[in-house]
Amino acid sequence: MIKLNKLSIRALGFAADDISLTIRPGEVHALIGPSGAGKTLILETIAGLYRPHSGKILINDQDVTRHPPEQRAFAYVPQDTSLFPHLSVEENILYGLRVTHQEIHSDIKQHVRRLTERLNISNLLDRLPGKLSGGERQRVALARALAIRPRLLLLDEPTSALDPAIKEETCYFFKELHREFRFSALLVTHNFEEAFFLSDVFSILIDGRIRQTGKRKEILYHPRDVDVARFLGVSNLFKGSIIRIKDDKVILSWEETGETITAKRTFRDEWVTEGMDIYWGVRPEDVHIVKGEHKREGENLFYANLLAVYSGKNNYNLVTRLASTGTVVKIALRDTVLHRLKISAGDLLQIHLIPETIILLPSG
Amino acid sequence: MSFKNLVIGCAVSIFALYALLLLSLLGFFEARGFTETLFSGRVLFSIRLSLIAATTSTILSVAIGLPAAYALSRYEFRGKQLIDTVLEMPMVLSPVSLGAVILIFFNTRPGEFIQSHVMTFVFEVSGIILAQFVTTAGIATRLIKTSLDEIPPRYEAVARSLGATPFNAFLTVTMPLARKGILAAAILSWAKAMGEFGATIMVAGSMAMKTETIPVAIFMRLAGADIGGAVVLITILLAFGMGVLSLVRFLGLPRHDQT
Repeated sequence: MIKLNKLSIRALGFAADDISLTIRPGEVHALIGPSGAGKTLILETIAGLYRPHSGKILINDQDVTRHPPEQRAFAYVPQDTSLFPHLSVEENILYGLRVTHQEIHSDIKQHVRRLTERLNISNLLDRLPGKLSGGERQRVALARALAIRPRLLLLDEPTSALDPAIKEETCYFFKELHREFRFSALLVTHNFEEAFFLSDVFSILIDGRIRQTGKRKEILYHPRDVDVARFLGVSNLFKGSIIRIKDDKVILSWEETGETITAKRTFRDEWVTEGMDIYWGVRPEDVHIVKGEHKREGENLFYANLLAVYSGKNNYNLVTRLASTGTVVKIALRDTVLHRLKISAGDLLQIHLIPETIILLPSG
Repeated sequence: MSFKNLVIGCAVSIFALYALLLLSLLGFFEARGFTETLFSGRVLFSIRLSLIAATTSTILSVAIGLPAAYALSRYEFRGKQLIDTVLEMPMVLSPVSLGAVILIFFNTRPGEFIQSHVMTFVFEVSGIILAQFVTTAGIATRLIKTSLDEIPPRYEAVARSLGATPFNAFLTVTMPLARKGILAAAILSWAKAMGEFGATIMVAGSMAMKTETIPVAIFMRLAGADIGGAVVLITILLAFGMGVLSLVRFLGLPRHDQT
């Protein structure tokens, strides 16, 4: 088990504080943060290339904070892969084994052969890195890192420089490889798709601090604060106050509109008390449009004018304004849903905020 | 005149200047005298001495310049800026001044101690090597540093994460990638050492069959009004120099105007 204990880093004009996380054996942990947040610096500090200002890096409770990189066995795969351009693919893969004078016996040979086969690079062994495509380079870099059977694989934005199709293919290769070899990895990225595809546990890094760590659902539906929620794409964020709490329901007032909202209360919302000022939010993809004639009545139902429809890759982004107050509510719809609803800019819609998808956030 | 023609004109005029200077040698060139002078014992000694001294000083310059350049390229340390600036000293100080500084040093207590207890430099072959080394070490270090600066340090970072020690990472990754730059620095240092005159004559003098390198021999021939002999030696120096630069071009190495 690898532990980062209150790591504080000051280098190259970046500052990160209180970086604590645990990577269990066989776990892929993603450190997600905006671009330019110093994620690479954190990764390189864990690799041993920079000394932390304070805090500890522990491998099975052994303190390796002051160990040089070569004594950690944390294989680093930078964003640009940094394959050694003067060495062939095979020499790159065997580099770590050769430089540590490991006897390349049959067990290691078999391990390397399995890696190259699984990554579909067996036919590239004689090539120089300059002759490889982006996806091939990434796979060779993975093989080179895993050849030494590292204690931890450190991945810096592994697919961000790849074309969409190659990106997906590389992600699948990574997942298959992980299923077979069960290595531990720490991945830093600003790309949610990449992080959620590849990782088991997620830490959100904002302003040089880890704001939240958890599994996918927890991170997505129970962000700890407004910054995390905004970073994770909860773009409908509003002020409100708790009117009352009854069983598993929280009734709150929507400050901007004066309307009442019902949210489902979970064990993570125990901090919520009556009379408390809070923020609340809902993801654009969780806002539903009521089909057909606008005749439903009940909780969390509002009329809204559709202002604009913007097309995205897999969905459409709708901008609506509540008919009563003009408050903007964003909605994301799958292509097929939008076409089925047959709606266009200027239409009056009825929208539904489902209580289970309403996110409660502390105001301070 | 268009801008393009103007700049091409400048390039051609520089070529014309050098060509004119070289062509002027032809007026004093005698084929029979050439072979006689070339194969005379004194000239052969000068050639051999120049080759040995330039090669030795180049080896020393690269041997010290390479680690020094690596330190300047990769690490932050106190005094780095100062060292970086001092590397330019041989370029801003004329070779004669550099030679004078060396001579003055050997007139100080530490210099005298070195002369009497470690090695004699003044008026010796070792003095030629020292003069050439002082002239070329800074340049070699600067050229190698430029070459190392172009290699991303991340290669070494990855190598170390895969188990390589800093020295191993340097040896197996950085040095092979910088080999062309290092070789270019060595060749250009060698060419500069071969042509070195000012510092050499100040430190080692101009003793025939002892400290007379080719440039010193050219000076001595001209001093004795032997223009034909000087032309032969200039041709030899030119042949070595152009031969080396052609080698640089042939090997596809970066030339000093690119580094």
